[in-house]
Order: sequence, then C-alpha cells, then structure tokens
Amino acid sequence: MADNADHIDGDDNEDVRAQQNLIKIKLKSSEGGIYECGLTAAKMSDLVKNMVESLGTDAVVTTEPIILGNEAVTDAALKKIIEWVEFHWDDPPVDHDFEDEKDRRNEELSHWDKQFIDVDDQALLFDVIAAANYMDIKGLVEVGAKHICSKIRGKSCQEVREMLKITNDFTAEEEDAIHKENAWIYAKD
Amino acid sequence: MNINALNDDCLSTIFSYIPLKQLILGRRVCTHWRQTIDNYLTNERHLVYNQSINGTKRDQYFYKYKDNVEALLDLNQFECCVQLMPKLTALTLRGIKANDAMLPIMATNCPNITRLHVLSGEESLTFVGFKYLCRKYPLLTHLDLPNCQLDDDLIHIIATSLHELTHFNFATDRNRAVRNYRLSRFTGQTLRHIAPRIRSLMIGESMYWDEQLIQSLMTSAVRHTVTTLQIHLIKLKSLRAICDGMPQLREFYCSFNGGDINTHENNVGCVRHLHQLKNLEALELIDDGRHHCGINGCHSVYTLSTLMEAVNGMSRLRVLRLIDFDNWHSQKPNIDPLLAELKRFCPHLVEFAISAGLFQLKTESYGLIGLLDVPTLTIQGDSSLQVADPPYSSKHNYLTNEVVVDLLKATKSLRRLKVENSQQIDEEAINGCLEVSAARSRRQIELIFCNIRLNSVSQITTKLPENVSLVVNKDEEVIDLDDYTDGSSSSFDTSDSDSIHLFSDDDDFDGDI
Repeated sequence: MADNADHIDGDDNEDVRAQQNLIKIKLKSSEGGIYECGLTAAKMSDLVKNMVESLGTDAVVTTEPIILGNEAVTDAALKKIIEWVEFHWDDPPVDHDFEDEKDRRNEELSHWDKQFIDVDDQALLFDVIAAANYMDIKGLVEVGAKHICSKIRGKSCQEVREMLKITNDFTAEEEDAIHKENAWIYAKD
Repeated sequence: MNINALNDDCLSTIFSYIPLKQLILGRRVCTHWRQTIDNYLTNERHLVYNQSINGTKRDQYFYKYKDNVEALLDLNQFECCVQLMPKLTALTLRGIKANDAMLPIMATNCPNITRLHVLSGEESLTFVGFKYLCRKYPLLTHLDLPNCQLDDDLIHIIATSLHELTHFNFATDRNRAVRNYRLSRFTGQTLRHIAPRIRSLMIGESMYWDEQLIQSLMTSAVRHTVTTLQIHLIKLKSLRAICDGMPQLREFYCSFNGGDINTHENNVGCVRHLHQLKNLEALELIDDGRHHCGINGCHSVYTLSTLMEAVNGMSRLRVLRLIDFDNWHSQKPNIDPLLAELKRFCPHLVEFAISAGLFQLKTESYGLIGLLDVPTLTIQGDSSLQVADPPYSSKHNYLTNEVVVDLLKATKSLRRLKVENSQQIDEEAINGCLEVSAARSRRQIELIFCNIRLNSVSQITTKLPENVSLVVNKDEEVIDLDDYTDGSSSSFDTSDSDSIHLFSDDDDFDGDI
C-alpha cells in the first residue's frame, strides 16, 4: 500500500501542466525535420524531459530544437510520436494502488490507441516503437508491444513469419530439434 | 524497419506481453527469436503457472466453475517450464493444486525462490511437503497459502525455520473455499513463535474460540511489528484486544461472527476500540452473520456511535470496506453521518465498500456516497430484503436501477464498480451504466454485477464500449456472454469478447501450432 499519504492535489497540478503545454518546443528528427510539440506532452519522453531539465529554464528550449539523433526517429515516426503524446499528456496520473503491474499489462488498449497504432506500414510501426524506446516513452512502447502481441496471438509460427516478414533461418534439423524441445507444450493441445 | 531490427531490450519488452505458452512456441520462428526468448526466459524472475501452461483441458465444466475447481498439476509440464527459468525468485500457482511432488522439481531447478504463492490451497501440500519446503527454502520471504490446511505443528515449523519471512498468508479465501470452511487443527497457540520480521500476517479461520489465538498473538514478537493483519474473530471482545495491543497496524482485514452479541452479553461497544488504530490505511470489516443471526433477524454489530468513534481520526484511510456475509439484520443504524464524516476527514479514500445489509441506506445515502467520488466502489444490497414478508418488505430497499446509474454519474473518478445482491437491479442499470461509461472513453472502467435480477443477457442493448469490461454473474453462475453473441441480435461484437471477463485468467491462449 502506498506510503505517500500527502500526494499532490490533482487539480492544481493539472492546471500547471496545461499551462506548460502551451509552451511549444521544437523536436528535430534524424532526417532533419523540425516539429513543434507542447512542453508537457514532450516531457512524456524521459529523454526529452532530462534534456529540458538539464538546460535549466524553459525559455531556452523554445528557441533551439532538441535533436533526436537515433535513426529510428524518422520524420514520419516523430510525427506519429508527437500525435501520441499530444493526445496523452493529460492522462490521469498512474495510480499505483490500482494499476499494479499485472492489471496494467492485461488492460486492453483504448479505442484511440488501437486506431493510432494500427498502421498499414509495418516499417513505420517498428520505427515508432524503436523511436519511442529510444526516447523513453514507456506508455507508447507498451501500446506498440500490446498491439504486436494482439497480432501474434493465436497465430502459428509460419503465420507469424509471414505477417512480420521474418525469414525462417533454421535448418530442417534445427527446427526438428526445437519441435522436440517444445513438444511438452503442445502435447496437450 | 523490421521487427528483428529492434534492439534486444525492445524486443524483450514486446515478448514480455506475450503469454508464456505462445512465447515458448515462438522459439521456432527464427534463430534470433529463439535466442532472445531463451534469454528472456532465463532471466525471468516471476512465473505465474496457470491452467493454460499446465495444459489443462478447458471443458465446459471448467469454464463455469473454474474459480472453484483447481486443476491437477501436470508434473512434466511443470518441470519443462521451470527448467527454462533458473533464476526464478517468485512462483505463483493459479488455478492449479500444488502437491508435494512438485517441490523437489522446484528445488532442483529454481533454488532462488523466495516468494511462493499457492493461490488455491485446499488439500494440497502435506505435512511432509511443508517440512521439505522449509528445509529447502530457508530464505523464503513471502508465503501465500490461502485455504491450506495448516495446523499448529506446521505453524510451529514455519515459524521456527523461516526466519526471513515477512509475509505469511494462510487466510481463508471465502471466494474459493467451500462453505463454512475452517481450519480444524489450528488453535493459534503456536503463533507466538512466529518470526519477528513478519510485517504482513493473514490468519485462517479456526474452528476454536478466539482466546488462545489472541493470547498467543499478544505474546508473540510480531505483536509490535505486524503492519498488515487479517484475522477472523468469533467474539467482538477480541477486536478490542487487537486494537489495544497492535496500534501500529496500517492494514486491518477483520471478519467477525459476533458470537458475543446475544441476550446474555452485548459487546457491540468493542467496535469503538478501532479508533486506537490511528495509522490505518485500509480497514475491512466483514460482519459474518452465520452465527449471530437467526432467521428472525438480529441487531447489527454496529451502532452509529461506535462506528463514528472508530473511524474518527483515521485521516490516512485509503480503503474502507464495511461488508457482510449472510446477515439478517432487522435493526440497522443509518449510515449518513458516517458518510459525511468520511467526506470531511478522509481525503485519501480511494476505495469504499458498503452493505445495505448492515446499515440503513436511503436514496440520500447513495447521494452522499457519490460525493465521496472513490475510484473503487462496492455496493451490496440487503439480502434479507429478497423475502417478501414483513418486516423485510421491499419498500425499505432504496437500491434501484436509477440509484446505481446516478451513483456512477456522480463518481467521476470511478474505475471499478461492483453491485451485489440486489433483486431490484436488472438490465436497465447495466445499460445505463454502459452509457455513462462510454462517455468517459479515456478511462478504463470495470463494471461487475453479482447476484442481481437479470432476465436475459440479450436485454443488454447498449453496445459494450471499448473502455469498459463487464462481468455479470447471477446466482453464483457466471453467465457466458459469448453464448449470446453468435448470430443473435445482441450488439456484442465477438472480436471484443476479450473485454467481457467471464473468469479471470491472464493467459488464455489456445495454441494451434
């Protein structure tokens, strides 16, 4: 059970966050594109948060773009990520009393998140996940992981390979061996 | 980018969301997956071993009674599974009956386990098994054995050999145990030896009177260190002993029979001693009326003044549950002043559960509950009102469909609403609640209706919103909402059936490889 008997008053905090999100900062992708993003939203990325905080005052960050050098942060991926954080910045704070790890893991994605992450372009999907991982946006990585998990669910290995464009690089002998190793798990199906 | 271009961290994160069974099957996808999955499993610390991974066939019977019937452990499956995870520190068995034969397998493959949770305990480990467990795992810190048939000797062995134990739970889990389940060879007298590191102690329901148990607890080293206590008391007088003796408690889960509420003695006043527990963050009081309530009804174990005094000053309270079990009360205090008190003095309240079987709850009372705006809310109807005869006529029942929907409207921060035992509640309330929830699309909401007057699922006309999970349970039988989705006019989309939880199982996958 929580020890933080005196936690912050939700309403006040929300106001500050809303105000801060009016401040726009610039994010620069690895391809050179520069995009604006609300400060509170951008701070959902722990990477950006740390960068902003190390710069000290908020005034500085509004002029110079923050450079996100990882190659996964393409223009398209960064645009998607900004779309996500701009939608989620005012999410109710995670309440650890309720969202214990297991519950959160089992929770279904919201309708908005499902539509957001269900992109046709698989390369973009993995760019977004890799970029979110690099930028340390845990919530978004989770959305991506859950989406992939739901796609894989109930599929055979061959179907998984086809869907995710993975080449089967096992030799016939190796595959046989794994089949034997795994035998216990489908012996009962 | 291809999925295999993700770095190992990222890929492992994705794998961590995949149910164990499918993950093991996924080893066959490609060499990179096999390597990453094996690596992930080797470093995995916590295993929940459930019916899916055990390979239990899920026939119709299991669908319906899954929570009550534990499957037999398949030793071969178990061994194959734990072999993959040598670094396990925590093992949970869910829906599976533990047995002695699993212990050597555990000890050989996973020597580092410090937390063992066997969530379905009846007729599982034997005396020999427990002795073996204590010998092989002297460093156990967490031991969960609800409904296990522990006796005085075993408690003594556990108490004297597991010195690192901080969490020890052998409580009676009413949702799983057979009715009137009690520990027949547990008097409590060996509890006095229990290791002083214990912070969390959950004690099973004994067949004997409280005296020995209380005396033993009060002379034990843990009397001053336990912060979480669950206990069943026959007499309210024992409540007083605990409140006076253990003022440090932060969480207190207590059920009582009220065995000393009768014509000869009346210890109702003992409830007021709860006010000694100034540090309480969670308080659960279950009035278990099996003993003190006859068919003709009886007085409540609470009076308003004792309860007001009890809660007075508990400013840290986060969870308050005042619920009942088989009660038959003819005279009940009005709850309103208490609700006002909670609103004023308990700003951190996040969970509230209340039974109309214990207190008089009128329409205004439900309004006051709405003002509390707690994320987790449980409302129990008065089961005695289900009889038509006076004095239990339904005009005293203020819990209606409209009240439930209004309650949801008022409770803006709601995450989980549970409504139990009310024959006045039907589809109308469910439809109303679904509508209100749909408007809060950004928040996940769980709605649970147990033992209500549900005529047919097909009358749930409102489409299940994306953010809502709905459980409907009538007369202890879970209604299988899936049955109504095929080809019927019902608006449930089969593809969404996952969000209608018919039973809890976090790993429900039918492998088809």
